[in-house]
Amino acid sequence: MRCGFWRNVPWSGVWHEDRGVKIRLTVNGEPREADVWAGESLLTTLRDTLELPGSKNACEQGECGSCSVLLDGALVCACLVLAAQADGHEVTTVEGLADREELHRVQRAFVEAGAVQCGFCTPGLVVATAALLEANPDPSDDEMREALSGNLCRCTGYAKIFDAVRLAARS
Amino acid sequence: MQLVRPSSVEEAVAALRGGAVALGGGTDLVPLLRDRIVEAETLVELHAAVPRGVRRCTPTSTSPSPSSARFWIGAGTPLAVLEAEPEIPTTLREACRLAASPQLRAMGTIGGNLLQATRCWYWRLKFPCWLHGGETCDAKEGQHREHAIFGNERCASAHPSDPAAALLALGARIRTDRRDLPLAELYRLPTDDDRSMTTLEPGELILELELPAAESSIYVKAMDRQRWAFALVGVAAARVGGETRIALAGVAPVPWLVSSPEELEQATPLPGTAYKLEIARALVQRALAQL
Amino acid sequence: MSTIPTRTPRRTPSRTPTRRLEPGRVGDPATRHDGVPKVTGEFAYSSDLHAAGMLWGKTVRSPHAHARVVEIDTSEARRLPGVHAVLTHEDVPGQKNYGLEFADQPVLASDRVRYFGEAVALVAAEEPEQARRAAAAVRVVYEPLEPVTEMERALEQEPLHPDRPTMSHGYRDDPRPNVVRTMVIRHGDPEAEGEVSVAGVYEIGIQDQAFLGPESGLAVPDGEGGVDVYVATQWLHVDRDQVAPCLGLPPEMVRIHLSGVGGAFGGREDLSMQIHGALLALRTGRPVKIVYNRQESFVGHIHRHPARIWCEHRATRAGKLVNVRIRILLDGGAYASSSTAVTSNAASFALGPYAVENALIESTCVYTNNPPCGAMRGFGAVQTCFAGEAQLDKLATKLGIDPVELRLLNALAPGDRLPTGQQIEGSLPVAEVIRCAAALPLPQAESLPREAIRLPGGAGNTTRGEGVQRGIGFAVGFKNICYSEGFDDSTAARVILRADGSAEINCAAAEVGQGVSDVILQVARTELGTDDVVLAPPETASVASAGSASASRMTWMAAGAVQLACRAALEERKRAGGDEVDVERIYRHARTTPLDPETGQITGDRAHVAFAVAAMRVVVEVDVELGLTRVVWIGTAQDVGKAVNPLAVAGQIEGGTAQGLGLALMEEIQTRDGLITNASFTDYLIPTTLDMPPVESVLVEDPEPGAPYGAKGVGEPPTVVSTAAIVSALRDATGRELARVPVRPDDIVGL
Repeated sequence: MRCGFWRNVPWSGVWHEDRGVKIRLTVNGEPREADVWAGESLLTTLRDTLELPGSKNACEQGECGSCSVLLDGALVCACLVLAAQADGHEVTTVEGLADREELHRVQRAFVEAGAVQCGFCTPGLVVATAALLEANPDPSDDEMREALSGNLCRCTGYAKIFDAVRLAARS
Repeated sequence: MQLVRPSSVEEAVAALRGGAVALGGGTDLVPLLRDRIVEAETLVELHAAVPRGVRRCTPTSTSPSPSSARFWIGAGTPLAVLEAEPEIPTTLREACRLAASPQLRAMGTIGGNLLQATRCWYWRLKFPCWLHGGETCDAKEGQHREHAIFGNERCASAHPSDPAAALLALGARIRTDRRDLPLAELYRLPTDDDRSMTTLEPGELILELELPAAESSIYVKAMDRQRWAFALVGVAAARVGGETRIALAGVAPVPWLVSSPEELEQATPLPGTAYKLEIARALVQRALAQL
Repeated sequence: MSTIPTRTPRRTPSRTPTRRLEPGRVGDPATRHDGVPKVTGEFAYSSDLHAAGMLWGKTVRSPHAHARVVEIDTSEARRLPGVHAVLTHEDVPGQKNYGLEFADQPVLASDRVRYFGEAVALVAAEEPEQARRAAAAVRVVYEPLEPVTEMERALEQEPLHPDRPTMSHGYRDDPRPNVVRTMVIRHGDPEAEGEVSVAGVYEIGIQDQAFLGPESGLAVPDGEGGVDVYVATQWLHVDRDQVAPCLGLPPEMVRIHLSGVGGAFGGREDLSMQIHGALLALRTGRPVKIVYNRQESFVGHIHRHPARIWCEHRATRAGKLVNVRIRILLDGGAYASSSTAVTSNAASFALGPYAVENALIESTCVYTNNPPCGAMRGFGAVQTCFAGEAQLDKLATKLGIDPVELRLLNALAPGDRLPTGQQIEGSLPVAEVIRCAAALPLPQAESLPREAIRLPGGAGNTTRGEGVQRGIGFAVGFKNICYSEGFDDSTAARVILRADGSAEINCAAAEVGQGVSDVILQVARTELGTDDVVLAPPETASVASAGSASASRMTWMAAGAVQLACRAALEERKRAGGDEVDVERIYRHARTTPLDPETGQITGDRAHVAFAVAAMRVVVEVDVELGLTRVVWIGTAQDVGKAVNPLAVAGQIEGGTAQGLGLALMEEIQTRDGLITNASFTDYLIPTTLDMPPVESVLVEDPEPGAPYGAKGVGEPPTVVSTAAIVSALRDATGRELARVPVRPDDIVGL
């Protein structure tokens, strides 16, 4: 009998003496600094150090899009970006979309269309949809499906998510 | 672990001496590091060192058809840039578009994509398989429907890169920090003595790609779902200088060039991969019909 | 040595009710009250919790599917920096085993491991990376044993468990080794002959719930010997009742709090980190957080049972079913979980919603060293629906009868009897649901050329129409609502009604994304006649059990309990002269009794409370040369009783359909000698935005007598039916038998 081996626990942090890399980046419009480990993912830094747990860790392999953030305006999976790679760059997370009290139109549309169930995929989908509408204000159904194909949802079957995208595009 | 961020090719090459690992977009490497399949004391972030971008360039003496237009692509160019580049051959543009999800294509670079590790789960789970230095290929004995139908005598893993097949069909060349070579020569089937899949020397860095314009080209890909899965069979076909070339993804441990559709009959499928040959036959025929 | 982390405590679980809500009454398509925090990223899932001084826990798991544990040496792990505790089975102070229905699973393995990923030891350390290293440093010496991986062989191999608690439970006595439960239903004359018969053998692969939020939670010691566990779960009180005995504590010293749940689908019915976190917290005196990664999640919960099903359907030439003979074999994996109930459910619904006078149904679940299986959306009915509906299609073809007509001809109706002898008392509009689904107009065949993503093969651009054939399929799904066979649970609700008319509702119903908290609020607003209602965070200490968010029961049961408690509160307040009142009421459904172990017949009026049916019509296109498929359109009609929230009902139908589509086309856990080889979303594929077609749904509202507002549950029927309906369409397109799901390209191309 042969045996496989356990993938190790995520790098969700290490000892303080290993946090040898100082990074400076702009997060949701604010300059932020963090001491990170060389191998630490941007997702870990956002969630555990910068206290922005809105981006979710669901697969940590770039498969599900739950950790989607904008890096200099480009939609990326924060779980596959090393924090050090984001040094000097601009990051927008789901927490940075709403304008103080006012929800972003995509956020409002997700609530109104019933596009949220368990909600674990929602932050990533909201960011991905905002990026889509920024680039293409009136996407066709095919374009919408294509643009969101890197974001998995297990609850909704996507129909209400598409409704939300259409609603946000109209608003 | 430490991370260095060189700002020139020279600095990057120097930093890569002594076993450091190069980090491009990170979309393949970061999970490999996290799973401790790749161990690294030092990561060398290539973002500021390796060229990126696409431009038309003048043919070089090594070009197969010196008269036609050619393209230069920096190895650090993200796939998302290439898929939006209307000038480059369709096969490469499509292969980049089909390579991964939008998020990964925004980060993943063309240079890194050429060096993607296999998705063979036995290898990724660190089974003591042949590719990890063991005696036998676990895929051959176990579940292997995603695995190879060519070049699978020792290792039945399948190469996952779509762009590599496209570039192979185009007859692209690559330039590293120390040599210039046809892409076909980047890859090798692993042998008992040397189980690596590429001919890169330790610390060697891919810097640029050069490829011809094609009269016509295409990339098509059979997957287990409608979007965003690794190729069961990917077929790149290109007509360059009157010559038609076909290359396949997902069918051999390395991207696989076939000189003609008839060469598919030399496949050596495993019991669970025989269907891939059926798909390859039909897909090659369809791709050629569209050239 | 380590120091206490100085992080600011944040997202500390709070006991104060915080949810203030937009109004919405029963029947309104209300938006979710937790929608805003979920879209802004503020909603605290179990993996988002932090507490001051928190440690990180990590589970040491078996790399073998079957092995004797020879020795566990924790000395090296204990010496590593930052490590506060390393625990083994010797450190479990109370009961050593736990289980949802039968305590056959060790909290931590002692002498034997029976599946890949079984928990063997625990560590707690200051930082996750330290915990990981410590876990890797726990030296476990195993003596590998031959794994039992084949269901049929398991019935002859050496028993995996020394004794089977399931055998002394009033179930049918089965002397064969490794049987979890066998049940036989004999109905009418099981030897009755028909004029025609069709037979088939069907297989269902092992499906994962693949909820997006991996298992996680935070255990906080209370300083007085007790512990609070904040966790994503489906049933708070059953967690408490399993955790407390293993800790050697009375139940009231263990308080389970619901934290944000990232999907469940049955996969959170069993425990994951609850006992482990509590053990570490009590040992270290510090809060301990455990978060699984995706690979660990694949072994951190049970899966849908893989099955092999043998069927023979006998009928008259006119198409009336005479006798149905079905044998079902389910692989339960290493531990019992809810396998006994799944075994019975598979048998109870094996005939589908059809009136058949004679039947012989045998359902057996076995222990193996494969991944443990238990509850997943559809609970046994998914497997038998796939087999039974394929049989009906086969029979229709053989008789030359339209498949929809054949189903209508045999449709069950109120007053008819199930093979268990139970008479249908409540609502069951089978014929109406079938007619509604069949009446949905099919979309026009799209013309060529068209965009690749609207062709089989999708974005891969593999066809311009070559090899493409269209197929149309139909199926009907049937399942019970609520728990059954004498397992009569209840739901409690507590209402604090204040003098100013505002109210606070306490109910331990688990909001897992399905929207039950909105149901609770809609009912409370309706009953109390006010929008000024808040819902307290669910926890075990403030209210009695709500039962499980399972079996499509939570809407019915929670609505019943909240309705009862609200009405009682209004009366009490009147009696109290308008002062604040605090009342708790427990709601129960109609009593059920067990099935006779030898005949499978009812021993009272009923073994099941109520039933729901869904019919689905599917259009597919298949590229038969490449084996690639595309589901073009799905139309469905579902019997919902009464839609308390039509928006949420549509969401359940669409989402449930997607999970059935996944099983039909792509989802299967792969194992090698019991080891899961595809424990990632790269290798275990679930449907993307491009895989899901538009789903057109019709809600058939035929109120269930006895249910609050007439509402039935809606979560499971779409999943039960969609796998069968999609594969029916694939058969129509390909002419192939396709007797196994998932159907993948290799099953279709012409070999």
